[in-house]
Amino acid sequence: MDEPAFEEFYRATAAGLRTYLYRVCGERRLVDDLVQEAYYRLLRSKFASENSEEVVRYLFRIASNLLKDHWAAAKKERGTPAKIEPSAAGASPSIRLDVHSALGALRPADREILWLAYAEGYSHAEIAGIAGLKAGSVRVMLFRARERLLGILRPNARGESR
Amino acid sequence: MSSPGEHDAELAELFAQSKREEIWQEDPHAASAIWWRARADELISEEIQRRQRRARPLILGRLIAAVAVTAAIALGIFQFVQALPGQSLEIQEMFAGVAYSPLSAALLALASAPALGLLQFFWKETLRG
Repeated sequence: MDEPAFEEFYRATAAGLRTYLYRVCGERRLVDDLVQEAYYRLLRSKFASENSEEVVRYLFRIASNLLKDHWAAAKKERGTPAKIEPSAAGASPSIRLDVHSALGALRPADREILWLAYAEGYSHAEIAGIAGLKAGSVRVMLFRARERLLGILRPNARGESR
Repeated sequence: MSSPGEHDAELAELFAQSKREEIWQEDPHAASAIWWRARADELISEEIQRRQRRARPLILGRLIAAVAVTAAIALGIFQFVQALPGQSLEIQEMFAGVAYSPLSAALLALASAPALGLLQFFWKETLRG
């Protein structure tokens, strides 16, 4: 990928990748590092495909692996998984805060597959490819994660409707 | 418990909205910096591989030369032992009596010349690298 093509690809995908990583890990500073590293590794991997969607999925897969590596290292150091921090970006409409804080109450694996499924619109097979899971497991995990998320969001929705 | 797909559209809209609302301050030079970092690392690793490929014949040559020198030395010793006079002779007589055959001398010279040449070349390469 030459420089102008990469810059165009970066412009088109960076915000989505950042948001995905932020929703999953919840650490803004970490997101910056992971985004840089993910794009760098994509360039170094020389992954080539005519289908740009495939390249984006590969990028998400790299980012997902980087995040897991980070957690593994952090777990060794701290002994606890990362906690999601309160959202600090721009204006904070209640609905975004709800998703952000609701995701924060879930396990990282749940956050990841929920985001990939509902925000990115990936199929079970694509999520499996990105998250390094079996497609069959994704279906079950997604269903359970969705139930947990709905369980968290419903009281909020009730609170808002009152 | 909800049935699969019951709230999917609702959740998709919720997530899409959450995604749209997230605003990131992008460094305009970030993409370029990543690209050049990757390009620089690529050039460095290409150069390392090129040097390794270039050194491969030298390493092989050195190995062959070492084998040839060892064989020549072994042959020389063999000739030396064969040429030794009887055990009762004095040391001086023993050395005087030793005569390398023209074949041994030729083999030694044949093996030593390229071996020394290669070693010298390799030494220069090491100093230059």
